[in-house]
Amino acid sequence: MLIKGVALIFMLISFPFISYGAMREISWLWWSGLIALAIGGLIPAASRFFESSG
Amino acid sequence: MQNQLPIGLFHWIVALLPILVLLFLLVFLRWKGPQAGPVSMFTAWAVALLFFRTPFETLAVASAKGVWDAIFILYVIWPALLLYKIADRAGAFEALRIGIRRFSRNRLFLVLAFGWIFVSFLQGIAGFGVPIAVAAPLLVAIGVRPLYAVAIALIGHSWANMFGTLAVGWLATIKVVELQNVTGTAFQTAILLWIPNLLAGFTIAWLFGRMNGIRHAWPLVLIISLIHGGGQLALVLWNPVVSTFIPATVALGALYPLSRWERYSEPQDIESEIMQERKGKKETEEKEPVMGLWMSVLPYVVLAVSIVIGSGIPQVESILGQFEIGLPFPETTTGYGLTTEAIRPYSPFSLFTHPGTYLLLASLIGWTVYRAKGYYRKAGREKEGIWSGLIGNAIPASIAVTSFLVLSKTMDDSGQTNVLALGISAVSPPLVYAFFANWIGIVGAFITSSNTASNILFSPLHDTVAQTEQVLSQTTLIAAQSTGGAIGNAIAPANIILGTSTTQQTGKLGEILKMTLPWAAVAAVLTGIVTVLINNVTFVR
Repeated sequence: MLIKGVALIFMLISFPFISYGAMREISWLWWSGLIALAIGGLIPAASRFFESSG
Repeated sequence: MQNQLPIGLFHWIVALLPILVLLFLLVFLRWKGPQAGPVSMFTAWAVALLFFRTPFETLAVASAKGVWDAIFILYVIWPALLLYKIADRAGAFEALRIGIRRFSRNRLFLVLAFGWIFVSFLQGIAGFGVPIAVAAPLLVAIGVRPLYAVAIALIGHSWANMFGTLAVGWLATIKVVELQNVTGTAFQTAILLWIPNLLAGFTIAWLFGRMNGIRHAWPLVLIISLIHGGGQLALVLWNPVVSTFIPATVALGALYPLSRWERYSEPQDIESEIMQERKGKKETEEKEPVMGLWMSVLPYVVLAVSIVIGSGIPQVESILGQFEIGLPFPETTTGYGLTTEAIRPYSPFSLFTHPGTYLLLASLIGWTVYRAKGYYRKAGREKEGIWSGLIGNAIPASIAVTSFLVLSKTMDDSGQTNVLALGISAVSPPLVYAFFANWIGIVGAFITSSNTASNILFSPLHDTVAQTEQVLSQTTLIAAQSTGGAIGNAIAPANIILGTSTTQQTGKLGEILKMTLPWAAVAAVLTGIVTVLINNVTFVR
């Protein structure tokens, strides 16, 4: 559950990063948000394979 | 700049890909929502980047809007789960199950009362998934198998989505489209919404006991549907804002005299596969519940009363509604010229009139009263953690909902959703389009889990089609779209997760879809047929 909790936090924190970065044209900031969202999405999808192999 | 979205077969198919991937993973491979959701989200990203000329910044902004939309729903899921845990640990559901027998011992009556009439009442005033999150565990408490409980709540509440939540869907629709006949549109919408309402009552009776269930329940279903559907039809002519809330409340009140009717007060002799058998104990041998019936529903009474006061009284709502939160986003565009305007703040939500706040209030009062009365100790579950159980259910549900909403906004802002709808309108002869107008609404609600969002997305499309096709009525197409948006709520993944999370059925999204999809398909076909009839009978250009 801890790993899923981390995934959710990654997904949720992307929102203020992207909003602030896109509004002020700070590209590294909105990129950070997008990457955080991608990591947050990858973790539960990947965990399916870890769970089945373990 | 005018957009030049590619309306060809190839782009239509790739635009459909994220939805197909989601359905395939959930229904055929039986993946869980938190795993299938992100994969579908990545599919929508890939389609946007590779085939819809979407810049990364547009993708980022669309995704962040999706996250914000998800937070709106998570603020229902988490408090609803908290309320469930607080009541469950105190023994309230067990007390409800035993206590309700004194009210009526007719199981079919109780299933319809909770799964159709009570959810419709909640949808009339609260919406945003609250009816499913609240009613599904109550159905389980009276003995319905959890998967059926979720499916029944989904089917039972869907008709009330359009004019429910004090008609937020209707108010949004008249904002995005200049209606040629406002009253006529509301009236035709109410006619079409009667179809999923009546179908819901009979479907729930059929699920309970097949034809025996229908034979037993038909007077009840007709009476309640007359109140729901007929009441709504009459009230939209006066004030659409209360056209679901008032009939749904009257129907709830009608339960008492109906429960005095011998037909529905005494047990019926119908085999039902949806009910859990409680073997080993006779009714008389069951443990005495820790609390009475009314105490068991106290948090839900607090919830209903606070929502009625907070959202139903305009003066109170205007004061509470002043505190809004939301963040801004800049204008974005795609390589096909699809522009999404800058917005500040994006979709702000009012903290004190949000259903999540009412759920928290109900949880707080419920926990305080139950603790003061010593129910946690009496139920022998004092040491079971409320928070640990809550987190275990809420986190997977939250991941799934967030990825669904990111998928939805990505498809929306990159033009995939538009291409899907425009593709249908481009190849359909006018009357075929009329038949499929409600299907477009269903797709919108499936993607966004919202009747309102579906109408905002697709009502302008129907308006454009009505202007170009001589034989199609704008009034009828918008009515069909609105009804489809309501029906689609029965199959929307984010809605299903609200039910699975409060009934401890996390990961069973695909199994619920298998039950609600056929119902939605039948409702859509019937709605399509009536749409064509209404269009042909009423419309003369």
